[in-house]
Amino acid sequence: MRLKAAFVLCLLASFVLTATGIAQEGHPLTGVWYGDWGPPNAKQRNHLTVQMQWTGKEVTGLVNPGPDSYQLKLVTLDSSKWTVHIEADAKDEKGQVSKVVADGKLENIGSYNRTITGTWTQGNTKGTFTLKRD
Amino acid sequence: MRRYLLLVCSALMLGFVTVFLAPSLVKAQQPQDQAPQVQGQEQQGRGQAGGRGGRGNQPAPPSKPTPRWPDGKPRLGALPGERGGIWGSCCGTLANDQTPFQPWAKALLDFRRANEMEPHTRCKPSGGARQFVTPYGTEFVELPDLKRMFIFDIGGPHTFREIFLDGRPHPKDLVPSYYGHSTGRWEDDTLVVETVGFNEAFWIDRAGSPHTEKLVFTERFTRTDYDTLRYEVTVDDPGAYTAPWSRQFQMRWNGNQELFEYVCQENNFAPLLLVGEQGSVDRTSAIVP
Repeated sequence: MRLKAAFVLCLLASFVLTATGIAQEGHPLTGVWYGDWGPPNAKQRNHLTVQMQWTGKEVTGLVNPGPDSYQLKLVTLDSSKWTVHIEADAKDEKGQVSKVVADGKLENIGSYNRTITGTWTQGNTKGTFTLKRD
Repeated sequence: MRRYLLLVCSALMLGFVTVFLAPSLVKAQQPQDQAPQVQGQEQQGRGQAGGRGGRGNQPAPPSKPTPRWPDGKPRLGALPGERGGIWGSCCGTLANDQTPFQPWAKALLDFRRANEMEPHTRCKPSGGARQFVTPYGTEFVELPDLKRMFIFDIGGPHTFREIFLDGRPHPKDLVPSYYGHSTGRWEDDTLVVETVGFNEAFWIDRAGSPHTEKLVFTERFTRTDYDTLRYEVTVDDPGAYTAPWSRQFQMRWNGNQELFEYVCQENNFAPLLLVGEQGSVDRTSAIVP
């Protein structure tokens, strides 16, 4: 019975993901992006899942959906240079606000799997990030 | 004996040519026969944007009046007895220099113009109003008893859309699609069609004008006489444009033209003319941006 329920859940999840996938064609930032960030020489980098959507006036979204998620506070796209600026308030291990500021360059715009690469600062840690649209 | 063998051999060769080669030759000829008709039809439609199409220096003869159904509504499709009935296509693009693009949409349009990646080359449907700016034209099939109309297109992947004329509202939870959900109503002699529920996987015109899922097309079809269909489309997409904008043109009737098969093959790597140099195009993505 549990197996059947899990199967149905997986089926529903795949439908949702498929529908989300179909919807990711218009605004260049709209979609789900996967990647990581960390200091350039760090052995272990921090996983990133960023979900963004264009409302017609602004880009809204969420970083790392789940128990540790946090909202994007500000996302701007300079379409003359295809640069992206991101601001958000993450939480550190003590639950304190850790400000996130990221600046990146949108590349391979013609591809469904376009990328953003640049610098990512979280609290006092400065590093680089890479995101690829799924 | 030798003569007899020669005669038999000649007869066999003649039979072979008749049975095997002649049909092939006829078949090979067919596309060539079709091609001038297709091009002529496209040019006729394009010419319609600025006039009545090419007839040399001779003025076009006066058109017959708009055909009507028994209830007085204009007929937009073929009449009984007509061989076919295709409305010629227009001009390729809907947007122009006055189109109120949002900055990102204009930048994306410029990028698409420079880098192509035209969705048609991957067999993506035209989507909404692009049906009428895609070569080869469209056929309108009206079903008054069902209160529905179908618009079939040829260019692109040769598909269709359905317009509901029975007063139903748009569904609340539409799954975004290439043709969305169309409902129509008559305002005097004009059929007004509103379409919502588009996905973002197609270009709304050949130029590559972007859109979002917020797109609403309002189209107005008026058959002003037997040979002319006036078409106006209003593009309302607050996700990609700063204000609604419209485009109007005319389509030309061709009562002798039938829909023809136009095969669009997935995994099409060939069309250098459409997408530029073979090596310069990213074909790793299954979905056209």
